[in-house]
Amino acid sequence: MQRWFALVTEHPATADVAIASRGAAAIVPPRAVRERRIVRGNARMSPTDQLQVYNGAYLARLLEVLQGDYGALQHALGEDAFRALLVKFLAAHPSRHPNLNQLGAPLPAFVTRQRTLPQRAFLAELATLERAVAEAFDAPEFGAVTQDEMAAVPPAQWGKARLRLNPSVRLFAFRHPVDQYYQAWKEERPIAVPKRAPNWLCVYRKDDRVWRQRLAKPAHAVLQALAAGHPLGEAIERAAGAEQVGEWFQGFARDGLFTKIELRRGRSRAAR
Amino acid sequence: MSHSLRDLVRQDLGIGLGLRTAHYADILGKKPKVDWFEILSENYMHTGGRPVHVLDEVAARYPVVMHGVSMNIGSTDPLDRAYLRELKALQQRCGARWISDHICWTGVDGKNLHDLLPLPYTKPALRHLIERVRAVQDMLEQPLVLENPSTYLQFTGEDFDEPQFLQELTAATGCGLLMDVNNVFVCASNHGFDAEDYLRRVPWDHVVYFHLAGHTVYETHRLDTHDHPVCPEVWRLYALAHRLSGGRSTLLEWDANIPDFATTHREAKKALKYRTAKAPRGKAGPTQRPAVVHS
Repeated sequence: MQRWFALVTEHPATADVAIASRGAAAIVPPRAVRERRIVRGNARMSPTDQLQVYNGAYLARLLEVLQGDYGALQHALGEDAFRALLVKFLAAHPSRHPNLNQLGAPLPAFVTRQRTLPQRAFLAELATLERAVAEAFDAPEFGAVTQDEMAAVPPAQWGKARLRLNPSVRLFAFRHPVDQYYQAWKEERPIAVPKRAPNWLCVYRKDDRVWRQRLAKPAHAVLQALAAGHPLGEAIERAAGAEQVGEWFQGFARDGLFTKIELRRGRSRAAR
Repeated sequence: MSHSLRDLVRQDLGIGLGLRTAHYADILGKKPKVDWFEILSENYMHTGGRPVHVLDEVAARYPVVMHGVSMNIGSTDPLDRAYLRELKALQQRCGARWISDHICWTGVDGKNLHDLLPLPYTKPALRHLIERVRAVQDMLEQPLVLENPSTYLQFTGEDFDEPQFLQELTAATGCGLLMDVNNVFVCASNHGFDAEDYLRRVPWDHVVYFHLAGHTVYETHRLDTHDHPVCPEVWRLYALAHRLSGGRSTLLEWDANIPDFATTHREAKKALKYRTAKAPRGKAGPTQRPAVVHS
């Protein structure tokens, strides 16, 4: 019975369409519903009307959550196309988690697969950025490496040191300037879908706020190497001699991007 | 953290508010005098950022209780033990006085519909619920507190009305009840029963606390939306419930179109007017002996 109720509730059309759908009708014949053998109904509402209360609330609730998580994507797509996308998305990815924050996690990959969607590559990257912001907000707690801890590292050991990035850090090499679009949307400035232009971004949480930092390509390469577990010396080599590398490194440290310094040779168990 | 139901029922924390993001700045900045806060458990699970840090600050200053929407206690799916472990860990973190959820199911076949879906008040459903409430209480090592839901339909061929179902459930499991007075009114209106008669048949010795909220009136039914002030009829029912119970912790829920903190708090404090009535002597209200549940 719960399986039937769920099918009727989550159907993207209406309760009467849902009741007659193949899946629901295989469990409860529509006639049994009409004859009030399942749901009582009352003088004001038929059983179908009553089921419609649940059916209508389901989609409205989940759409509201996704609209909250993907406001820039909604802006880029327009309301009708966004709603149509979400209805399709929810049918493919119903919620399986107690926390609604997880509902939209598969949306960027889902957008990537929508071959008929205009500007699909841009939209998928925009969705990826919005998801990263949500993930950074909810990432596990961490303690950032302090200035004292940095100062305690013997200079000779820095080259072999491995720095672990805090769990909120997300690094991106985008093909479209999605951060510019996202910022314009936040500021309610008009903006067209931007042309392709490679750009690099770090999303992270500091002091319970989520930040987005645009990076130069070599700075992104340094962080990417650290994220992959390479020692600092090797990571800096990825910067290809960029003069600002020291400045970048200090900035990353000030922003709390590092949560641990591993000084032992080789990877420790904790760093795997 | 393993209180008996008696301990929970005796703790009248006063008038509480639901902790909502819209009020974080007021609560942390002005540290208003509020008796206690109720948190939505899921909002503080699977996150390590601002929500839990706000909770830490609130819990350090105010009594806190946990109210969830995803236990899925009435589902035919297996209990989600990972979820229950996380609930318990959250309680340890914030020192919540008790953990509550709803008499409902929220999903099946691993899907979560994120709604409080109605259970048929039948003997098999009751047996199923009793078994699961016992299992959850064993795992949480405390009485679970369950709320009467707002419902928009009733099933054909039910064996019990809701007060009877609550009597059976509480007698068999020793669980606590969260009596949502607004839900009683909404259901009474939707299903055509007498709300006062309902309240007179509540097993009051199991009721741990009250919920109050506003709802939306449609032409054909009332919807539990938590987006309005409490209506006069619900205040009148609350006065009766307060008299019948002898006094319990009371919480105002406001979840949509949330007004500023001061307005929300003022609305909650209206409950004080109804809490001044003297409690009746002796046992609070009649508690009918439940019929045997056949297994």
